[in-house]
Amino acid sequence: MDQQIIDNLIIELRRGTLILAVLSQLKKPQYGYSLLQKLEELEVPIEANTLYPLLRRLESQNLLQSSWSTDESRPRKYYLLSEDGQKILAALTEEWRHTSHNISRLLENK
Amino acid sequence: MNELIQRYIYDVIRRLPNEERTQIHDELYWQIQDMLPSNASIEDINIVLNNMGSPAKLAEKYRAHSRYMISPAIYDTHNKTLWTVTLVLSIVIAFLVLAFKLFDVSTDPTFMNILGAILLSLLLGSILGFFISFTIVTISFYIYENSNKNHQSKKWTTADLPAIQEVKGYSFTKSSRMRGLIVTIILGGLTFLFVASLYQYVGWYENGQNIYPLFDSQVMHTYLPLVLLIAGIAVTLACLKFLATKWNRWLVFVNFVYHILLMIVTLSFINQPNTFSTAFKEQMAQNFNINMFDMLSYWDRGIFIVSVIFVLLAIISVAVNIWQYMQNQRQALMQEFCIKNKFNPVNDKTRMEGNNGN
Repeated sequence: MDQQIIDNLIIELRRGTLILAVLSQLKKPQYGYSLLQKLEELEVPIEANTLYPLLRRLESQNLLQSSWSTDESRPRKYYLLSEDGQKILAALTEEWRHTSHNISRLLENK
Repeated sequence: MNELIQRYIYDVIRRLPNEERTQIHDELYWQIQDMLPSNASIEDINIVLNNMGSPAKLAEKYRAHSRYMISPAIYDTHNKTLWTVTLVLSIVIAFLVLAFKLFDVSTDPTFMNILGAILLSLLLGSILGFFISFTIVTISFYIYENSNKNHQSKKWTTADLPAIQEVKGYSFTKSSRMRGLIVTIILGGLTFLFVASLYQYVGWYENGQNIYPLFDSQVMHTYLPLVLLIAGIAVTLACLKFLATKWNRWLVFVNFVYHILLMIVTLSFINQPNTFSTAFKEQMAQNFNINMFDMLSYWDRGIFIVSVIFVLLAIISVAVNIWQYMQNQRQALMQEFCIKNKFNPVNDKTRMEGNNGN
C-alpha cells in the first residue's frame, strides 16, 4: 500500500476535527504559539501554517474574539471563545460524540 | 537577521487583499517571533520559516478558498504567462482581421467603415486572443503540474524567498520631460505654420511653379483655429507632464481629451472631400497613366489605411497611459504599506548574500 495515500487519508480524516480541537482549547485566552504548544502536548499537533490562518478565519466568523496584549516582552494576540463560539463548540461536541459513537459501533461490528 | 522574516511575510502578504495586509503582517510577525528562541540565529529562523512552508500556500490558506485548477505555487507565473500570451495573440489576431478588412475591395472607405473595422478587429482580437491563450496556457500548466505530482515536488525552503522589490512606478525622467516639451513646442509650431501658410508650397510643380497645389486653402483656413486649439492642449499637456513627474488622474484625463480631439480633427480633415484638390489628383492620374476612377479608388484606400493606423495609435497610446496610471496606483498602495511596516526593499545582490547564509 502506498504510504502517500495513507498519509493523505489520515490528513483528510483529521482535518474535520481541527476546528473542534482548537475551539475546545480556547475557553481560556491563548495566543497563537501557546495554543500550538498546548495542542502538541495534548497529542493533537497542528502545523503553524494551518493554525494561524484558521484562527483568523474563526475570528472573522465571530466564533473567537481577540485582543492584543502588550504586557509581556512582545505584543501577543490573545484569542478567546465568543458567545457564538461557545454555542458552536457545544453543538460540534454533541455531533462529535454522536459520530464517534456510531463509527465505533460500525468498526466493532465485525 | 529580521530581513529573512520580513521577506517571508512580504511574500505572504503581497498575495493578499490590501485591506488585510496590515493585520496579517502584525499577527504573523509576532507569531514567528514567539516560535523563535531568544537571540535566534539565522539557522533558527531558517528552521522556523521552512517549517511554516511556502508563503504562496500560507497566503492561500489566509485567502480561505482552496478549490483550484492551478495551485498557488504556480498561480502567479500562470497569470503572468496568460496575460502575456493573451496580449501577443490579441495584437496578432487584431492586425490580421484589420489587414483583411483594409484590403477587402468591397469595403467603402467611409468613416463608419473605418470605425467598424477597428472595433471588429479589437473585439475579435481580444476575445479570440483570450480564449486561445486561456485554453493553451491553463491546460499546459495543469498538465505540467499534474505530471509532476507523482514525482516528489521540490520542498520549499527560505532560499526560494524573493527579495522585497523596490516599488517602481512609471515616472517621466527629467530628460524625457524636457525632450517631450521641446518636441511638442516644435511640432505644434510647425503644424500651425503648415496649416497657416506652408501648405501652399506642397503640390505639383512645373518650371518651378506650384501649378496644382495639393491642399485647398479654404479648408486649411477652416481648420486653423482647431489646429491652434490642439497645439495649445498638446503644449499644456507637455507642461503638466513636466511638472507632475508621474501620471495622475488629471494628466490621464487631459491626455485622453487631447487624443480624442486630435483623432476627430485629423480624421475629419483627411476625409473631407475638398481637402485634397481634384486638379492635383488628375495630374497624378495622368502622370501614372491610369484613369481617374482608379486614381480616386487608390487615393480613398490610402486615406482609409492612414485613418485606421491613426485611430489605432491613438487607442494604444491612451490605453498604455491608463495602464501605467493604474500600475502607479497599485504600486503606491504597496509602497505605502512597505513604508508603514518598515519593509526595506533589497536588491538581488543582498538576496543572494542572504541565501548564502542559509
